[in-house]
Amino acid sequence: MSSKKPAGPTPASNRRAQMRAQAEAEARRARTRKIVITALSVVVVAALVIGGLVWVQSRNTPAANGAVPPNATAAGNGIVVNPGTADGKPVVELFFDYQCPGCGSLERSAGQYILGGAQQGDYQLIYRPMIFLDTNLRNDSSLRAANAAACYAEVGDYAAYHQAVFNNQPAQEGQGYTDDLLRNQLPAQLGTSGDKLTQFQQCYDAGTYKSFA
Amino acid sequence: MSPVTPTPAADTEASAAGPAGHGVLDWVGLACRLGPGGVLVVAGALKISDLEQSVLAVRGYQILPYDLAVVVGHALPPLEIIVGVLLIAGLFTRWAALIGSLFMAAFIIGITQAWVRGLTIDCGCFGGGGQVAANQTKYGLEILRDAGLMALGVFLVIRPHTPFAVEDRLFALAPVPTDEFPDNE
Repeated sequence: MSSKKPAGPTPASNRRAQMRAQAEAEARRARTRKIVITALSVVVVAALVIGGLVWVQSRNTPAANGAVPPNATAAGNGIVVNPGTADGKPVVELFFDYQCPGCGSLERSAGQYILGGAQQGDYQLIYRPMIFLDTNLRNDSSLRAANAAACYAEVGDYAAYHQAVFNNQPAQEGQGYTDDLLRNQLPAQLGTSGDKLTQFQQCYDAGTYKSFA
Repeated sequence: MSPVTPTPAADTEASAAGPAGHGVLDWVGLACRLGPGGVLVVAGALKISDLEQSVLAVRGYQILPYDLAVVVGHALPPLEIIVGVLLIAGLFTRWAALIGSLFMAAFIIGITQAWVRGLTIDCGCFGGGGQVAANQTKYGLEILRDAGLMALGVFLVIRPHTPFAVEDRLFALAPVPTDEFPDNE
């Protein structure tokens, strides 16, 4: 900018150069201010957008349909199978995925004993349905089954439905559960009918507890 | 700043910012802004409508802890859009290009490790993502595309001055009025 220095160092040209330098410094400061303000605006906008998205998302997921099923744990991540029978006793948590063959064979072999001990009040039993196999198996059967079981907790014996799902596990992992099985056949096997069946099926269709799983 | 024709040896920054004609590199720079910027905006916009899917796509890479994938899955689409808009507008070009290039580097690393580990996922770059059949993976193409975009970004990091950049207008030094300080010319 100031490549051309005044030829002679006269007092007048010195003053001019000084004033010019001052004006330039002021212009640079104004520019820096502008850059900082713009950068801050960008950051604020970014933070607002991301924060807003997360907020909307978190409101949508649990609030819109995210009721927790009956007898859910305080943290909302499991269902107490024997509420009120073993207060203060140790807690047994059973983690499972309805599509997991190992979980199925455990349930079919030892499930009733685990459940029996809970019903006697030896310990608190909490079922913790998980849906990670949906990702691996590229279907949504774990989610639908978990939602169905939670729905059944509204109208009947949650543990019985849970057992029924595992008893009907497909022979080959990944084949999944049909809607017909979860929605119609299993409640029928367990003797659910009338209003309770309707309530269950409405819950199933609405996917009420999908965010719970 | 008299309209002396800039010699080729003149420093490129000044000549690029000046109103005198734009060189080839300037137009390359503009392309480097608009291309990756557009891709980022499109990619972010396609994902932002389904953030849960975005989280699943991140999880598909099986690198990040379960909860961190939620954060990344939510934050990445809006960040892509913001960086893309900055690039297209030419605002904070160098920084936007740097962040965009780092995104690409992260994507390349993620896709490469998925390939090496034998995962069969879609990159989820433009929505979707997660597991796909083994014969539907396109790791090579995806890496090639991201490497190309990254190269364009690096060009801008090195040479951020481009034509039609908002930052040139917005952050231009206010010209010091020369009449006020008459030179002896």
